[in-house]
Amino acid sequence: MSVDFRKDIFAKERDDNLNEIGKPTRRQDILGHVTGRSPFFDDHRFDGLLHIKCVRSPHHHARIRAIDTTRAETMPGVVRIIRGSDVPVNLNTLLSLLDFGKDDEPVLAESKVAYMGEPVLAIVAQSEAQAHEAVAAVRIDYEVLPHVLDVEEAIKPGAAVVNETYPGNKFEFYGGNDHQKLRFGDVAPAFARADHIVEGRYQMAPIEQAPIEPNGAIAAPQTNDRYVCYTSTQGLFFSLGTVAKLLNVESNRLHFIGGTVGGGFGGKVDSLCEPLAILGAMLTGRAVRYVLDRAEEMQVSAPRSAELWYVKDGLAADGRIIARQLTGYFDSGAYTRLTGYGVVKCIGHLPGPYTIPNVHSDAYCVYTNRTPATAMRGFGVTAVDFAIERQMDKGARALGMDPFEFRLINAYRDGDMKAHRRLAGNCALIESIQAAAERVDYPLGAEFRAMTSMSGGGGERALIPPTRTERLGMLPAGTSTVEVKTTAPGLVPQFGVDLPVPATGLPAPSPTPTPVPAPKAPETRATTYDYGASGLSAPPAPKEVPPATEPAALTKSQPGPVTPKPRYSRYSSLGNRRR
Amino acid sequence: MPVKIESMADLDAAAQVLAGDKTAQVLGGGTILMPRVNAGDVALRRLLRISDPVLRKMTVGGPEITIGAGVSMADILAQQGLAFLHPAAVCVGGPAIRNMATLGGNLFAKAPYGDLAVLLLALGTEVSLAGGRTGPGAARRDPIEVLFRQSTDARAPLVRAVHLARPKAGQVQFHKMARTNPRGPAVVTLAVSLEVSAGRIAKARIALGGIETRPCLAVGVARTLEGAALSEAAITRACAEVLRELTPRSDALASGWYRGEMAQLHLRRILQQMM
Repeated sequence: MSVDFRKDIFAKERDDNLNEIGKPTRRQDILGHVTGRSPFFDDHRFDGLLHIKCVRSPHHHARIRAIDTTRAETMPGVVRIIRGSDVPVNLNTLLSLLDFGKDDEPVLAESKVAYMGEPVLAIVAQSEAQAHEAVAAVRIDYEVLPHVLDVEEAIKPGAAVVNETYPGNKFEFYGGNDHQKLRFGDVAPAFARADHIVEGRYQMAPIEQAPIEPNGAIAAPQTNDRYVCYTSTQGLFFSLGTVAKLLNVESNRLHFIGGTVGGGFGGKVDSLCEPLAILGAMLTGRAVRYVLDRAEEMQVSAPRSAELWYVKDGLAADGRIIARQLTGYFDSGAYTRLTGYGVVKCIGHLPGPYTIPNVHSDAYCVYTNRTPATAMRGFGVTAVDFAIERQMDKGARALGMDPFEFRLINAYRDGDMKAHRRLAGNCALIESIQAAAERVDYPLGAEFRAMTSMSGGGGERALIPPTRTERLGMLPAGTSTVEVKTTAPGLVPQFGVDLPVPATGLPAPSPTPTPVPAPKAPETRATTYDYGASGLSAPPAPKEVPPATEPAALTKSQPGPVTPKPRYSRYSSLGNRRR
Repeated sequence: MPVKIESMADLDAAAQVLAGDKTAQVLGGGTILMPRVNAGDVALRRLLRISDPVLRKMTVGGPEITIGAGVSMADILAQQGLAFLHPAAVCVGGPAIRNMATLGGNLFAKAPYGDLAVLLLALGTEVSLAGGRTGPGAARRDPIEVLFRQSTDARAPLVRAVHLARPKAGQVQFHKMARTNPRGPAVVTLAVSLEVSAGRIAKARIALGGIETRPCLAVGVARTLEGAALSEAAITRACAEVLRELTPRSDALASGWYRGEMAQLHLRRILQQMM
């Protein structure tokens, strides 16, 4: 199907003299794909390549009492069995590289498992079949714990604690808040004067990215005490930084080679395979391959999170939405990965592409004993859009209006103030609806065919209304940021709890911002990070380079709670041993 | 331990091996077993590949039809004489799967697979089993239901062939409801066979897939239709009976509630088509 460029719409806003934008262009990698020549990570083979298969939890939630590997260790082909205690820093959260969230997820579970399929041991064997045999021979004594699979159940008092880092089963956002808020205007009086109230509950399942090529990596020792890693990751530097932290090695000892990703869609940013493949190579001195099989890809590689939304609209008889209240629960599964970040994205997207003068929203990132969720194409936005658009249909029915026309009445116009306090611009929803209606011969009334997003906005619609907040009361009209004095020592600053999201669309900075230390030594690799195709475009905050220290030996178990060790230590014990 | 694949030329000899070795499994087209082999399922130790030509034999010319258990979906689709089975056979995977997937495998495929088995169940198909029987009873046939009633632990019998009468034109209808079309796994599969005599339904058989792990018959629904003329009122009565009789299962594809709704919806659509 050819692309139809509707150049009649927004003709003034577009430059048609650009070389690439607005013109069909051939993908750079398409020739390699159609001729079967594109190299994938699994096209690399090494002499004596070893294979990893993981022993996984059969329970949603259980304490690990004992692990018996006696039989597995002596089975033919088994080279090494990796336990959680072998992982130098066995606790991480993916976005710790961006200072977002607390470390909450082990590479290999040590004391308990929090979802079905969570890896407990990694068996390194000479063949995949031998690794499978050894996996079947491991005996783990579990004490099964009560589990929770539903977001609303998970946040009730007394629910099973899924993730000890967040004992309330809720992620902590900036300032220690357990959810993200959006406040714009005042919904309560608007609901009171509305002609119709329409309420809905919407639930969306997790969605697996289902790439043709599963997550995987092959790692091998190189000369000069470095390790090469061929990987399917979507974010090469992101994975490299994650491995450097987990294995407590300098990032310049890791040489990541990516290239073709056989389908990612967000499902290959979690760095599930690289840490174990490289650790396996470190512990055995041989090349190690760790690839999820199809069932693992479906069950334990992270999907887009499930979401549950409650939406309440106050409608005027003429078709305007005068108030919208949304409460959402994202099911993060057992660990954070990218769901907390998805909630932040979501709150900046609400209340959908409609100009609504009174908006009230709370969104939570909740832990349950399900497979951890992560990025997937528009995560944080697509599922709530489903809820919003179903709600729009419901609203149109309540008013007895045409659903196209109901949307056209409420769609953003250029110059309108969005609930997250940015002015709307280049709003094409009206034109898109008109074009879609035209294509399917949908009869729109003349006044709706004549609508345009380029007029009717701004003016009154560009103003930030007086906004009701729980803690600060009414904020005057026009308030987009509020300065909050610091609290008494030892107290969590009360900032952000009730505040609207500021004009950047991102949560407010801390009222007493931590000074960002300059790196003590040039770290070109640390500052040229590229987050690849993961949809994360922000550069990482510069990190202070800690002083060189001597970490504990790799094979020693970590006593007590794991304290993350410096990432850029000068030497690793393993490196010393190899020397 | 590696997987051992043995080729066997004789069906009855294979049945004896199966009876004596609980770890042995029959490898038909491999569309169900090979993913397990490739995924390293350590429970698979011994696979029997049976080359007996009786498994590939089809008799389709006359009023009674016999199809060997080793006949593939593509073979069925190539037979114009089996056009009444085509709506189900064409739903099984893509062309590569249909080239390999056998009728015998489909009879033992657990939900959400086994679309053809649902249609065969509605048609009142009989099965003849390999081995185990000699003498006068050797040619005995069992109703296809015996395959679906077994507990999951029981050793599956080895099917030689299926036998069925050619349905009259318009007697049978098949619907598959999947999340992704045309090749997705079934949320619900429905097959309805109605024998009409003097404007009234003389005999009804309604088979469903996806509701339980194996195909099942909605006997109560059929009973509400039998003796009645096919009318909107009769259809409504039949649809209302579905959830009194069946408790649809929930899985990752669909909740039991959704399956129940879809089963009623598609039953209504099928019956309205047959009016």
